[in-house]
Amino acid sequence: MRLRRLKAIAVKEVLQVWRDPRSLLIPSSCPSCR
Amino acid sequence: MSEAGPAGARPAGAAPEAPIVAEGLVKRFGGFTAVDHVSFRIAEGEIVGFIGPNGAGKSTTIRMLCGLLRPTEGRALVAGLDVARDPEGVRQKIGYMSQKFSLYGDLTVAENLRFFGGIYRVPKDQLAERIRYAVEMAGLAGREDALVATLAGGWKQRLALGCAILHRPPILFLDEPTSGVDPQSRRRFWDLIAALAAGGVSVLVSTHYMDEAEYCNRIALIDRGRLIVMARPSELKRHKLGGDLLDLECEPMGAAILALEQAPAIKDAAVFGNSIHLLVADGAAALSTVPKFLADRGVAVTRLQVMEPTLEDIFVQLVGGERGRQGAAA
Repeated sequence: MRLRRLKAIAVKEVLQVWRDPRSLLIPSSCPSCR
Repeated sequence: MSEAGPAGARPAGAAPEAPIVAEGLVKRFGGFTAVDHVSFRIAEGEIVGFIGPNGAGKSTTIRMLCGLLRPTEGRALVAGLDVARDPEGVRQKIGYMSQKFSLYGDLTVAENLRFFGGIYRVPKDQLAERIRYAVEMAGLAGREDALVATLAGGWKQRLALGCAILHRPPILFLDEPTSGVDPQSRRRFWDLIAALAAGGVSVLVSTHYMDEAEYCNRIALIDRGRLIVMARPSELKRHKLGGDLLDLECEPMGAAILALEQAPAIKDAAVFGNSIHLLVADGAAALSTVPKFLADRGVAVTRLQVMEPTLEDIFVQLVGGERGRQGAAA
């Protein structure tokens, strides 16, 4: 994957976590985490 | 869209290849055939509407053309590239918009556009101008910093279109883009599609709104994975009904339907709101015979006239006929 795309995805991920840090938490309802 | 052009060079004097070519496309999921030998070509600047009920195979066909699903059989060429062999190359030539709009609600309008600009590798020196165009096209000027989650459906829809055309693709695939959007926004959206097509963009758009078919150059009717017919809306209305259509208002309706089922001159009768649409071989003759036939059976005719068939009439007729043939063959 080209660097340009990786950068776009990284910026998006950082913005989403910055706006809502709770999105990093693994929900207790996640079946693979039980 | 002036930059958009066909992919690759071709010999001088050779006929231009259609931007979208499907040849015998088949997609099976286990024992279920979602798309069954579908073939068509879409020309440069043409808008083709994929019309059919839910589960007819519209989205599956579009996903195969986008390189998101591998065909079980058949071949698809998009912008001259074989979708199965070069899906990544195809993705650079197309814009794709799904009914879920694929936007990030927790990002702003401008952030979404910058993200898609990066994903589509829009040249940095052109990105600001392209974003400005998309914002103006979507009617979102002054709302660049608004979170997308706070926008109304029509704005989200136009923003999703703006994101899909940020890299100026010569081909657009739109999968039910007007689902859940108000009529005024739908109208405005179709005006944008027409403007893009006028600039040479080929558009394949699926919908189950019959009225939207009128905006298309050609319509492809699809049902249970099979392409039933592909023609201009005017051609469909003229030739495919197999007779004249009459609009009948009468009292009582129930007795009229029962009586009309026994009438030899009536090919088909279907209730549409307060009236009954009758398919007859000769409309002029039926205007004089039907009132007498119904009066003899206690039905009073209040209005009977020849009508222009709607695309819904055509669709019901064609799908009904196709299912009848399949049933008879089974």
